[in-house]
Amino acid sequence: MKSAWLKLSLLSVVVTGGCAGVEIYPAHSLVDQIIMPRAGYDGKLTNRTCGAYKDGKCSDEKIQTYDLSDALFRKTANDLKFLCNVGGRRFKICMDKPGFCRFSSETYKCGFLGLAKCSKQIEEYLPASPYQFLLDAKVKCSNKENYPFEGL
Amino acid sequence: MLAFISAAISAVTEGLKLANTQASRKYVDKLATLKLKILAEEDHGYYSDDAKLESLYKELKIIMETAEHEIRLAQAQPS
Repeated sequence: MKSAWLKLSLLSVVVTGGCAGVEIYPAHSLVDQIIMPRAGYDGKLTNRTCGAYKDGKCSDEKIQTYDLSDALFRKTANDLKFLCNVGGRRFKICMDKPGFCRFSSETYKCGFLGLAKCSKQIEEYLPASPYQFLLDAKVKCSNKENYPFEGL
Repeated sequence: MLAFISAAISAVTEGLKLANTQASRKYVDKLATLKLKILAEEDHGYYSDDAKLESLYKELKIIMETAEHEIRLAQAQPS
């Protein structure tokens, strides 16, 4: 009986010891953010947070910026399934260039006597400049799982 | 596909099955087809067809509204 208890406690030490070795990474801070262009931050997407309020007004404003020309940011945003609302249309942050991309497809007749149907992918590209256009189009990017009601 | 949209489709489908009218059976098929189309397109990830997804979601919204109307009509019918 005593040895059974010993084995059980030894097993629990092994199990909990095994779990302690597992690293849990925190979620990327970008996941919870709605990012958008802001006047004075050309070429960047921004997220505004308020550290402290005084008399109902923000007294400690923090603006986090994400450069659209940063390839790592563009990849991260896409890995986190960010979608952008550009003037009510669905865009993604381009993986290969600074700006916003939208894919669609076009079908056309092809093959012998044009009897077959082929389709080609069309990429619509909105560059990061002129920045004023992005401001006017009220661009907003977010993770759709976290912010499903952000338009689109 | 967002979890809450998938849940909404399931709920409406259940309502349509209970209504069990000719039109409701048509909407059940339509919803299932739309859901499959959206899932297949979203599977392409970054290269998914944004224009197609936009129109599929718009179509889904219309079908859901019409289906809801059909359920209400069936409920109002004296059994």
